[in-house]
Amino acid sequence: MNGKSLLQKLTEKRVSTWNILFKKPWPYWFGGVLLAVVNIIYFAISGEIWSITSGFARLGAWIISLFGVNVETWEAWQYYQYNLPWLDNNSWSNLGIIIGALIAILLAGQFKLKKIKNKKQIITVLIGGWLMGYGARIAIGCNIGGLYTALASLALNGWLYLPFIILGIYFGSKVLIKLINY
Amino acid sequence: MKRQEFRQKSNWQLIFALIIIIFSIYIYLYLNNSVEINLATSWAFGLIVGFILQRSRICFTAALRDPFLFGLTKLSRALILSTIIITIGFAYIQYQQQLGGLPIEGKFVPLGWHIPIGAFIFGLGAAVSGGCASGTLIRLGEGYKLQWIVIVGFIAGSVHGSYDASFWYQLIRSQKSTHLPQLLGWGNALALQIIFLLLLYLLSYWWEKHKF
Repeated sequence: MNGKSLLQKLTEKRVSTWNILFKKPWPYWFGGVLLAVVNIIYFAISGEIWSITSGFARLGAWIISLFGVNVETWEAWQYYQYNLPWLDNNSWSNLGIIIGALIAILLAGQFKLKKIKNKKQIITVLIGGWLMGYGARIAIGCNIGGLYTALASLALNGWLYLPFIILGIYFGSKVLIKLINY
Repeated sequence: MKRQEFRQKSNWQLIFALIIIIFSIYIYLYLNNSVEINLATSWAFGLIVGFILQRSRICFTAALRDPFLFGLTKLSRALILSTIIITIGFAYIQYQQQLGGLPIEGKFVPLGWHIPIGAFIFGLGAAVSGGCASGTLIRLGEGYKLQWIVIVGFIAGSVHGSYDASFWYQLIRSQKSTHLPQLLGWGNALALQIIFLLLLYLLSYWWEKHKF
């Protein structure tokens, strides 16, 4: 039997299944299909729809409310309800996404703390993050709630969102390339 | 020697993964038993989505950028396929809601200039910070220290945006429903969206093969 015992062969097979499931990246299409299925199940059983950044707004608003800012009267909450972060579905799914990714990369044995290269990078991404947060609140949705689950909901606002996020990313990438070159 | 070292390192990671999984199940049970709202389901949903996105390396920013910068559309096509499937599933659930006399749920935002402006600003930020909302969360889990800075800016920007809401939401043009089936009827809306998505899929394929 090619000089290998049955036990050896079985062990090899187990290792390769493990590698396919947990080590090698899944094909994009497979991830895309699973993502859709999991979202449909979530909507069906809980009536909740996946969104991310309204959770950030609630978390941030709660933080500044600790310093005495009266956040509850903001007009924004007419469009997305104000909840305390630990009673907020989006905050729990956001935390879940971080931990889920951590579990996945640990199972692959590829976890490593990745360093920050330089100070310029810190300032660039701080501005980038700020713009994302601000933009998502103006449009009432990020790439998930404004686009992915908006399109899933057969909402016209998702189709209005699509061309402009593409434009934004296009110009942002051009700016980033310039920044790197200087 | 190198191999041995690697194996020891991944064993340590495996044990750590198991501890986190057990702890996550404990949190799930705690939420399930002690809170009346459906937080446990959201927690489980997040864990699964984080796992899927990390495993498959899906990044929305790249999907919306790479066709135009590099002519690559494999990821974009995967997400178009995903959108087709989720559209059908959501439409079915919404239809059942309508039949049951319940309000139809979905991510509906009243139309106006706030959407193009906000989406453009969001896109700028996503490109500059190297990841969108989901991508930032995934990279946090993967151990990128840089994303800790992104998330601080992200949360601060979100609060800033919510604070300025009364200014921007003056741009809202009408409070009419944006639900396509209510505008066009179920059959037309569903057919139109799916045909359009299929055309985008084919266009992406053609773009990658011939245009770049």
